[in-house]
Amino acid sequence: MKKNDNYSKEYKKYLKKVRQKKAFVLTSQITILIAFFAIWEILAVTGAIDTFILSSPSRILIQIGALFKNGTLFYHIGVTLLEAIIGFLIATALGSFIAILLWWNETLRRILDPYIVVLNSLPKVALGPILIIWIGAGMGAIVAMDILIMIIITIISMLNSFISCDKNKILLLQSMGANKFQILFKLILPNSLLDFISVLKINVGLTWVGTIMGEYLVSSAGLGYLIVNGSQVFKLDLVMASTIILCVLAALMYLIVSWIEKALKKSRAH
Amino acid sequence: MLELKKVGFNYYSKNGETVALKDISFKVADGELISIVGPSGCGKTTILSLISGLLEPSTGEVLINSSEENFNAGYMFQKDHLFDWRTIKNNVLLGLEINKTKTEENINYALGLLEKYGLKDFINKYPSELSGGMRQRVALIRTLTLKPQVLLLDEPFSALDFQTRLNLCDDVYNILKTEKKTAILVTHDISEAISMSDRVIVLSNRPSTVKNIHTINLKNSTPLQRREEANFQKYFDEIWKELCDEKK
Repeated sequence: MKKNDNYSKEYKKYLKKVRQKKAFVLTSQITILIAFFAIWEILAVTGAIDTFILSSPSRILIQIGALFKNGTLFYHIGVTLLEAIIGFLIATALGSFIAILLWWNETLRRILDPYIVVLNSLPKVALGPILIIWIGAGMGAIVAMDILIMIIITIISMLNSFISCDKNKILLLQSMGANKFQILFKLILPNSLLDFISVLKINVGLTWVGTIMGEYLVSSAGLGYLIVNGSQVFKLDLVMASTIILCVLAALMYLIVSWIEKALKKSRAH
Repeated sequence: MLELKKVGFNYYSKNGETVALKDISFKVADGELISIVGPSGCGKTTILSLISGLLEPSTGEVLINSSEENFNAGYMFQKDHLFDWRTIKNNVLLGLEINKTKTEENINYALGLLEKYGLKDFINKYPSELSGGMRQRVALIRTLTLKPQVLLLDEPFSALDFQTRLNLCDDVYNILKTEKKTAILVTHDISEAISMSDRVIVLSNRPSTVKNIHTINLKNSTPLQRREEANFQKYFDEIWKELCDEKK
């Protein structure tokens, strides 16, 4: 802020306005969050709402404390997180790889096109029971469910990105004598980096859908398991506590991907 | 010397066969710069693809020094097609990477070209930091780095604003003549064709044939100055008339 002295009065005023606006937005966001939990708690304490059905922030905290004490809190978080991350990594990598194969071979692309379209419109959850029978009731089926939810959209997005590459750029490389490998690695892949980042951002949201969906169908551990289990015995404290932990985890994972996005874009932003 | 001998080219599509080019014959001497003008869709770009070897002629042959051997042709397009994620230096070295000829000597040749044509201060910058005219100059040098026997310029100026365009014409002309390069320029801009080239080939409508070849005799040595000469208008009118006849 040393430079500040050189700025005109009007510009300083403008900067101050920008800062004030930013502060206002942030304060409002925090206020909403606090107000939401405060009102919830007040309504619960005064008996205006039924805590048996709606739980309350204090009861949620007690529940999380109890899970922590009996040592299962991090176990359940760990199981769900592991499933979500494994599914995310496999679906993104495998989907991108399949997209490369389909880019490489135009005939294969045309043959498989209708299958991909059908698979894309199919509600993947419908395959849940089949997965359980094939893979067995366990983590494998959950990760498979998770992968299924992400992989088709990954293939479609990446393939579209690959084939939308400017034809003259390819012609340029061909006129330099490039083979298909060189076109792939020197042009197609780096050219699709930004689209790959969007796929990462879509998948980081979808992986939680897939994992929790999988855990609803079949599980003996994890946050999805706690939610289903809690709702079956009307332990709303447990349901709410798991949901809130899930919110925090999803937000954290999204932040990590946003951070990766920023780092990658920075290496590109000139 | 480059020669096209009765070259014909047919396109095939589901709707049938289109004869794009028919009996195209012309010669280009070493170091000569010729332009090809013609009605839109007459297959100007196709001729370049045939010369570069990316397409095979349906009939006739493309000869270099009287033989049909493979030779090295370099492209310059309407868009510069510089890769955003590479620095100017690495964009220019792209061809060497692909040919696996990234030797000290070749790298120095490429850097020498950048320096010679006023881009030395930009070698570590990225394409988005350069103006449109500069980017096209980099694109030309990227092509020259591979020491092509023939340069194929596919409307390289048409995406630029008028002022940049005139300046770049001078720059490119200067580079091509200094490096003694043989070049074929495809354009729909008659003035550009006349101001830059030694000869202008006028193509007819599809199926395209060579309608006329004009030898341009202008005294001045830069395209901008050549545009001022009295004869310039004469050539322009002749070619304009020929193209108008085609449109009918």
